[in-house]
Amino acid sequence: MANDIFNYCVATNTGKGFITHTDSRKFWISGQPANVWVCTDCVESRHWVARNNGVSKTKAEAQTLVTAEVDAAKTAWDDNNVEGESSAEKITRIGNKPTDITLP
Amino acid sequence: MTDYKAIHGKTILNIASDLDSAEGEGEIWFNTTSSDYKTIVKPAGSWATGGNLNTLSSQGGSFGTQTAAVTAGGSPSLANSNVATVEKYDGSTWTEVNNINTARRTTGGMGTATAGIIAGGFATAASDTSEEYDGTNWAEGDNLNTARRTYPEFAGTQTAGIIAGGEPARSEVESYDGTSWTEITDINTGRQQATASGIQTAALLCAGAPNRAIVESWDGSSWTEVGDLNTARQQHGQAGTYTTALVFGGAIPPGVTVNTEQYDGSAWAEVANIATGRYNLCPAGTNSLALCASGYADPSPADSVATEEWNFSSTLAAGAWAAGGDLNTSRYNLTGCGLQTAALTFGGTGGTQLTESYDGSSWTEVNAMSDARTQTTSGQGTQTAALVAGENASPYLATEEWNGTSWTAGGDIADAVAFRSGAGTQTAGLVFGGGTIDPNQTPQTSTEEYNGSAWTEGGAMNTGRIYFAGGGVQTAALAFGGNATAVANNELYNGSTWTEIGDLNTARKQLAASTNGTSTAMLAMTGTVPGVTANVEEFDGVAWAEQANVSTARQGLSGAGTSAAGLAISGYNPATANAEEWTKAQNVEVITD
Repeated sequence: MANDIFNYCVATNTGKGFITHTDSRKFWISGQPANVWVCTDCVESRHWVARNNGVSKTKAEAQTLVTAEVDAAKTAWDDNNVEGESSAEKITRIGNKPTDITLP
Repeated sequence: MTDYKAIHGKTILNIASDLDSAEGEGEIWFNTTSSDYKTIVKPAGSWATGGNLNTLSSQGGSFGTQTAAVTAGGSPSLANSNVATVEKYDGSTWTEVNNINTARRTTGGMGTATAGIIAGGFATAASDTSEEYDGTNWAEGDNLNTARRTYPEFAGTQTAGIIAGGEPARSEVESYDGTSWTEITDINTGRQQATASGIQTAALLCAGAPNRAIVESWDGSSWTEVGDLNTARQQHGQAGTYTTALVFGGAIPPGVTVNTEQYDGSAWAEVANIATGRYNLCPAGTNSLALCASGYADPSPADSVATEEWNFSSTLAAGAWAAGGDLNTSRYNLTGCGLQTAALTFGGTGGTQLTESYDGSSWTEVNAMSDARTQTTSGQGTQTAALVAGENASPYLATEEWNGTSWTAGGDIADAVAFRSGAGTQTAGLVFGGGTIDPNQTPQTSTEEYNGSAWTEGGAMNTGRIYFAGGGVQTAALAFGGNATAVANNELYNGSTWTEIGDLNTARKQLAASTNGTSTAMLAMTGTVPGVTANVEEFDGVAWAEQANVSTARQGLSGAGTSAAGLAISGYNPATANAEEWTKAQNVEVITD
């Protein structure tokens, strides 16, 4: 994908039919936090955005949304504690602390 | 073409018929019959979104198929609390149904949406309890010998399954028979947050914490390390069998992966990724039709109610039946063995001693059996080394061996029965079931094993059956369908015991199997349901899938060949001499530009 150009949008995953097998065979789709979706930029993926009432974003706009969501998740993770619990036990209980995501 | 030769240094192959998928991979050829350029398209699965769950259920247990799945329990939003919520999926919509009795998380599950089980997980501590689902209600099952949490691994069904691993890096494995859990052989590498697929006697256990790629295969008695995953992971999803499996998603601490890999029995290959990376998800389904539900999406701790559906089957071209040669003597309740292009059929009503040999285009009458065998008997082996047992003259115990030219007496079997089935070869044969030779025709459960000279008793089937079909080899055989009131159930023999595995979609009797198929690749052809049917199903080791119907519905037929190249021979509706040939999908594509 190093040479690919992507399009970015915000769309709500409405379930069945949101992404079809035909869609996923025609272009690459990646779900990100904050309902951000990144697709290979092609006619079919633009049609997919329109079909799902997606709102197109620039890469910077999409990255801002994702970063805000990740930051909120980090805060929630920091605040989610059980008295006497070790860090290893916390990871076992709720997983690793969220990490930053950089959109392609 | 001049340009092609100049570039590649050779001309394109000109042939009258297409190459098959194996021969044609990476090739381009010109079909002189259709005047088309053709190639093989490699099957490739894809993921699509399914219906969204109603409630968050990450860390829940799950089981079932892509169109009939169940998620149970969990711990939404990584809270330090559990839910007892259960949802059922019908292929498009999730519906809340009756809760489990004990709220729990990090469990797992096995079985179907109408006969499933969850066990272990974390309730207020590591749990040893199990709960069984009948499609409506949950009932307490037997307690595990070892309490285990943090995703122990499950494979099998509600009445024949295994559970392995769990925190802290457990290696203990237990087997469930629907009543009680029994300790069996440990896995080689203890682990938690792994997954498994398959059945009680043939399972594949993959990856797990801490971020492992290792895979172990279970043959019913021991665990063996097989090919590693390309991408190590934990808290992922898995579906399929021990020879055809799909692994998807999961955590690669501290991150999450979308990566999906498919196993062909020896190696893992990267295939299309899920759209949303997630871990602690709820998997279900098969290698061809899998389900990835819920889970913690990237970044944690954001739960997802999203579902994704994997479809590999739709990228396979449909198989087809074609007319084969007619037998010289029409008959039914006959027996067959061998391959589609080298088959043998013998006996039956209307041709009691007759033997005919098939070369892929025409049948030739060859030397007859010594004994008349009027009803479906057990036949196995090849066109040049076959074995027939049962339903001859009183006392109905004589067997005969075919050497490619003539029949000679083999060792006597112990049980006098009719309408039985068989598997294996002339020197490693198996006969099982059948009905008593009296007006009651009482279905039998007995199994006998042949070593080329003598028969010994094997393990008894779980279901006595008559008018059924079977095939495979002596140490991995199937018996399915049959009985006066047609049944759908299917059993697998591992050389010592029979285990219930995936049922036929359509209960039927007086059917045939592709007798030289395997326990993970078998056809069930036609039969009575109770009307005579043309329906055909294919088994992949876990589930049966509908295939194209034969042209002529029939019962009391015989079968031969494999699930890729099968043969339906003669039969009744009324009596037909016709044979039909099955060719499994070849992904040949016409090149249009």
